[in-house]
Amino acid sequence: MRPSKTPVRPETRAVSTVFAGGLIGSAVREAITGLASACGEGRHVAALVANLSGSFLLGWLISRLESKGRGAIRFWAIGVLGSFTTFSAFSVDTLLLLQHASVSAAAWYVTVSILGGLTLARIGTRIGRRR
Amino acid sequence: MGLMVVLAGAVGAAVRFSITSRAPIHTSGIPLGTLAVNLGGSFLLGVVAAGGQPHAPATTLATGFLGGFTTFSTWMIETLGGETRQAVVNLVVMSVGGVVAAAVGWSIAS
Repeated sequence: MRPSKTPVRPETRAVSTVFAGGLIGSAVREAITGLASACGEGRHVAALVANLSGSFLLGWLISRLESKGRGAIRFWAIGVLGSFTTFSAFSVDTLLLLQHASVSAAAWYVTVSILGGLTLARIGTRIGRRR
Repeated sequence: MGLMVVLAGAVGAAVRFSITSRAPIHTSGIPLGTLAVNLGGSFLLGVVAAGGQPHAPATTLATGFLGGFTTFSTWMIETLGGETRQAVVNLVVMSVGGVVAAAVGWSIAS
């Protein structure tokens, strides 16, 4: 007799969990990109908003999820916030600013992204640790 | 199209996880999985952006996939987790490497 249900491999389950979280993160980033373009802002503004808010939220989540197990980390941290924030757009937007704007515009974009991201991630972590 | 972009981003996240969950953390303190994913994704987006067809369906899909494939927030959290020297190395290697990778992709494709 064949078993009625094929057991799900742990790795398949883990990848599916990240995929499900990735759906949410990508959908919210798409919404922000659409909103930014409706407001007449460039794509790099949307990436900046996603990257800064995502860094804060990941700091907060990581401290909240410490005791919640790997499934929650995979869904929220790796899936939702991993795909909500983006590095490829950060690199290419910096390159485009270097090509079409100025070195100082590119330097500002990189500085605000990194210093802002680090600061917000740290603040998020602190707030998350409060009970 | 919007739904396809969201799906592409989720596939990107799943592929990223398959890579980072196998990658070791280098003795320098740089998480190699995140480095590989972010630099590879920057290179590929450079290739896509050089195509100069921002509204073509293929461009939109690739941008969605690479948006989910690469990650900024993980980079920030991994940087905070390390010692100061490791943090500086991780910040410089990733940010400079990302722009260089994007520029290389751009110049190959254009």
